Amino acid sequence: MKCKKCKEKIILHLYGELNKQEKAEFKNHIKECPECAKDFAYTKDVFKALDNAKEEAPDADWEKCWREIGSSVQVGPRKQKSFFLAPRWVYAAAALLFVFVLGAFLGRLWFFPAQESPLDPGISQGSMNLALKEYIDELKPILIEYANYATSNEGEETVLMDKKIVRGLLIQNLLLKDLVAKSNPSFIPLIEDLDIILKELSNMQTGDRETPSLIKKFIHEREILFKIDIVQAM
Amino acid sequence: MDEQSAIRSAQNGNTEALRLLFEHNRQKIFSLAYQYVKNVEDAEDILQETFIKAYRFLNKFNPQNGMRFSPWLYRIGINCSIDYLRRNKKRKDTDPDTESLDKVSSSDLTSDPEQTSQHKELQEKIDLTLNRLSGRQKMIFILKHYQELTTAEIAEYMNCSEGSVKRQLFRAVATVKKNLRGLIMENNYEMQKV
Repeated sequence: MKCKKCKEKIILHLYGELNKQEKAEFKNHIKECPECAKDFAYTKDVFKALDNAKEEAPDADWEKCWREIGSSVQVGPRKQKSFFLAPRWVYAAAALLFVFVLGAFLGRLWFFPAQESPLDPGISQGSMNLALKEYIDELKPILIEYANYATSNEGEETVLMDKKIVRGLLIQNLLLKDLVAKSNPSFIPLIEDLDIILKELSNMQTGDRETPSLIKKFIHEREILFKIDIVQAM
Repeated sequence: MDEQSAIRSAQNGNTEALRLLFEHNRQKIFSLAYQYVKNVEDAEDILQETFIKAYRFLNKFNPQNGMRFSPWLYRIGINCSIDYLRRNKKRKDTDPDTESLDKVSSSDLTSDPEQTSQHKELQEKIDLTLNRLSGRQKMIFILKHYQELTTAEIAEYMNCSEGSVKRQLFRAVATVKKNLRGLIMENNYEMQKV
């Protein structure tokens, strides 16, 4: 046993808080170490002095004390309504759980950023292609008509499209653009070209000769019919 | 009326039942408070504060959870004593007359003058030494040395570990030993051997 430890054991020994083994170790050390033996003797003297000076508590004025207590408890509130409806540890546990869940959520966002799924989970690749083909099938005759538009036809109104049909095709185009961007990004330029054509058609007025010529030129220059054939061959 | 019935009645607002609990426990709380503050009036104040607090929080006391009334009250008494001394320390420090008057006891008039003087000197020195300790250290020392509780009981009352109680107790005793050295050597206390 080290002397530092023995100083503590002296106190515990005098308070009767050592077990048999500790007591034996302590006594052995005291026998061998004159410094600790001296300290033990002095501590005993200190305890003796403390006991000699021990003062019993005098009697209190019990009646006066009770009067004070009685008047306070009658005036004071009987039941203290706690602000907390549940024990405080419940709130502490809830706060801890919230912090943990928030940490886990933020940690997941930080370390495993969400990867966009290639396709909207509700739409399969097959359905996507089918929708695109149907759209192209609907649009192709119109495009062929404009591709074959001849300046000799001037004065005829056959090229003027029903605005409702054009708007419907424009909406379809917009929806397909988003889906194609996820499934088949190589078709995006075609969709964008079709978008331009449909917008021109929707703004075209009766007697407009210039727009059909521009659309015809655009279809040829951008090889739109060729690209449409590729989609249909898929 | 037994203690359990008295507690239930007091919980329902019966002050007579509280009086019964007061009569059963007043001496223990007062004795602790007196050892701590060494002044009758202050100890009475602590006793009153302890029971007023206990009454206010009596609804939180539940014997079915294994709680016992006496230790529960004792714990309130310990906290009230520490708080009281902390609150009034400044007032005491700046009012030496109060302290010197508090020291005069009835034993001064009846015993042998020389012995009384020695005893008084020792008592003053001990009080001075204990007042140098922190509030918790002083309380632990009093609970151990004067109230003769075990370290496990003190740990329960003070809401800390036994290890913490022992550490504070070792420090308190070391301070007392250091401060009383001169006086004890001077009075030729007999050195004892194992």
